[in-house]
Amino acid sequence: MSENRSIDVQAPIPEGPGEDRARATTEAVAGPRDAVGASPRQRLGPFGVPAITLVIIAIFAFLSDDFLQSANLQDILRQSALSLIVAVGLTVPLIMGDFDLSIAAVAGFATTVVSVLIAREEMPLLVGCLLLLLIGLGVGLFNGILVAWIGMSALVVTIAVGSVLNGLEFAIAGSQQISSGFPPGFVSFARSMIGPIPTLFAIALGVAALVWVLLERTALGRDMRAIGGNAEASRLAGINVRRVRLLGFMLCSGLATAAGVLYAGQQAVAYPLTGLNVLLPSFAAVFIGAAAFKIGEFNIPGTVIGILIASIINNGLLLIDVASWAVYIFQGAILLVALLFARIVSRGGAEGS
Amino acid sequence: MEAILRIEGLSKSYPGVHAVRDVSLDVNRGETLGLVGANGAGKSTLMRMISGGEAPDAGRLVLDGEPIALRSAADGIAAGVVLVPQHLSVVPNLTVRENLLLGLAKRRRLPGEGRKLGNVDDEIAAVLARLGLTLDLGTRARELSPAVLKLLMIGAGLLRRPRLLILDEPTAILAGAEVERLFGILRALREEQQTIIYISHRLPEVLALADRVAVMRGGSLVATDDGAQTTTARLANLMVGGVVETPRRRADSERAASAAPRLVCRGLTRSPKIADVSLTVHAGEILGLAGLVGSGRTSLIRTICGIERADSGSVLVDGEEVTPRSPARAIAAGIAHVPEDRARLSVIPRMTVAANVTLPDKRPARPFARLPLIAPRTERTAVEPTLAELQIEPRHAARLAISTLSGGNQQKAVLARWLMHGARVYLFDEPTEGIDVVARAQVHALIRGLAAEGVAVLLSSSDVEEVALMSDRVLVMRDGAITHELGPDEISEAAIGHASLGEDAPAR
Repeated sequence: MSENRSIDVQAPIPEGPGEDRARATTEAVAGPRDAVGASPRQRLGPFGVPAITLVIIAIFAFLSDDFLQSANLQDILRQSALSLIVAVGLTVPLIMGDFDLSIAAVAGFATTVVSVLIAREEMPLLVGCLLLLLIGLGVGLFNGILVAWIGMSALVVTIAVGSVLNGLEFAIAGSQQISSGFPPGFVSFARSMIGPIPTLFAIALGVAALVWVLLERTALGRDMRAIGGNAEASRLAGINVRRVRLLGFMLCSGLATAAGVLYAGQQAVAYPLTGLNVLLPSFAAVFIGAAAFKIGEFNIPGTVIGILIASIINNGLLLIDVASWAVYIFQGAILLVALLFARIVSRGGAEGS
Repeated sequence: MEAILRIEGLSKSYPGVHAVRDVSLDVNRGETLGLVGANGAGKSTLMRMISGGEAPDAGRLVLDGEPIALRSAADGIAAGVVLVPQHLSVVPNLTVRENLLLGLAKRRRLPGEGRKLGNVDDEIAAVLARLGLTLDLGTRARELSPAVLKLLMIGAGLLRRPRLLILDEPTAILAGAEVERLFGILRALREEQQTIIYISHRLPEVLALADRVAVMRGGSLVATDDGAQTTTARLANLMVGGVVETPRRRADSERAASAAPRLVCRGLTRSPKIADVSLTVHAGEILGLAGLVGSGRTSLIRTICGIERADSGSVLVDGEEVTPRSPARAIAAGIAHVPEDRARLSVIPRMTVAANVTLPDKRPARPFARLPLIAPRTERTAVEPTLAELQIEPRHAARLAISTLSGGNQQKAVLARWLMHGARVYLFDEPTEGIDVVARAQVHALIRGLAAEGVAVLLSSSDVEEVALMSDRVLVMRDGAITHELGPDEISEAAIGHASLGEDAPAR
């Protein structure tokens, strides 16, 4: 037993499979905001990002007369809808500390392949969608097995899987644009409005609400958040950590697939590797979300705000005619500022702990 | 009397715990100052602050008339404050010489005039002679007994020529003859005007050595007595502040031993950590598991509850073989496990106390048995009676993040988790680690209550006092095997201590 003699030197805590487990923006929050003696910074912090959103809206409204026009606001919602579905899905594995970088490839694969199936091969719409959904869940299952069961790094596994999907997407579609043959009902549904709200955005909000219920009000969601808080303690309390992490990957890939399929209907055009641009916006949104409401924790209302911020900035910058390269800079900068903000807010009173 | 070190208003708190509050104390040149207090009284935190291992939140230190700010243990050593920690902190694979010089090699010289590393072997020899050790400097540390290693750690401290030498529970792992030997050494050091702070909760030892005795309780300094005037009774009272625990009654122990076996382990082996362990815990019995840190206690418990998998052997609950292959299956088989290291293995820090309590199956949180939905209000109403029964503070704790509670209350919340879930066998590993005396007594009462209801309790602790106080029978482990069994009549701190070291472990 001599290996245990030098006891005072604590071995580093094994982080479990994959040392790249996601940490929310802050390592340890000193205490909840309702603790006695919480500083104003801690009490107001959760509302900082929503307040900043309002400021951004005010600035764009001042700079551009078109910004607050209802047509433009609907545009923003339309642009947000599908990224919101992806980002909500991404929130789930991230809550458990697992990165999923395959989301963009999964969504793109779904867009292109569903277009091939229903527009080129004239497969019935419903069959095509269900088939894709099964494939999407299968990808999540595959990711989950490699990461949660075999213990490979989520970061690398999902990048690799994404690359494979990109290749398959090209192989299946060939280098031809698909621009005709989309079922008209599908296209008009994807472009329809419910009152003043784009249908897809309403669907996205519905998805967000369901996932919120899952995370906050079900036993499975409780397990997911517990795993994110302390995976080993969760395992010792009897939670099947591997199974729950696997379900997280499946939910994430499933929602990314759904968003990709709907994108095919919205665009009625598909070409390999030109699908939804969701990787940076989704990650940005989820991490911005961790700076709102529940500081330092990924959460669904935060993710919704995060997506809206990303879309508003994107839209506003186009309206005021900045160079297109500036949009990239702004998106990256906003993400960094949000992370910095969360860091500062959550450290109030927790210095050096 | 001239103060070599003035401690002025030192305070330190961790999230949820006031570890040390506003402690002021003078340490006089050449004296041996005893520092006593129950577990969690703040002794170790105070000493870490004095020696640079921890930065105080408030207060300052004045050493030899000069204010000092220590940023690390290395700063402390450079200033001449050397702490010899309680646990053996030697590197098993390094030689005696390498261990003695650990951390000094980079500087190429020892603190003090002209003490280069090249000619330091003479000094090592001198220090070893003072300790009465004759050792080959090339011997690897892992070949030495714990008692020798303890002396070696003190030797490493002396080699740094401390102005103030702090010894934290130096006798914790020593048996009778070794303690006497250490005392001889410490008395000789005092003759040489070496200033020493001697931390212990063994009061007779402190009284035998100390010129003055400082008493801490709940993070505060409650008294500083003259060593010649004070008594163990007075010190004990000051330490516990009225909380006095009594050992288990022998009659209960004997009755429990004749009850039906609930937990049986047969030939459990998990190499290299545990070897062929068989044990039986009866219904209503508290079986203590003692042994040095690293003796395999924790591994045994982790194997019984499926966290680590046994190479061979079996685990039976109420006569039925279960041998769990995962914690989930152990729980399903009626085995509850309260692990050591609460922060790492028990608590989900950001979640509410209620959510932490209902974690295993969330049943109390579900308003509809058939739906997997959770309602926070149902959950709070379900857990609040148990939280109140365990006197978890503050009263509305259910809705607070568990990390805002003190260590003792967090531990009670973890106990509440398994009380509410229910089990036939409870495994406790260091159940009162780092919690205050009052909470410790409450946890003890709770464990006894569980046993009284007829569950089987296996209680593993490196706190010998706790094992002696709580157990009906005690098993002692060493190097992964059970080496001794102590019956109700044989249990005492001394007996457990001796057995832990192996009776054949004299200092070389």
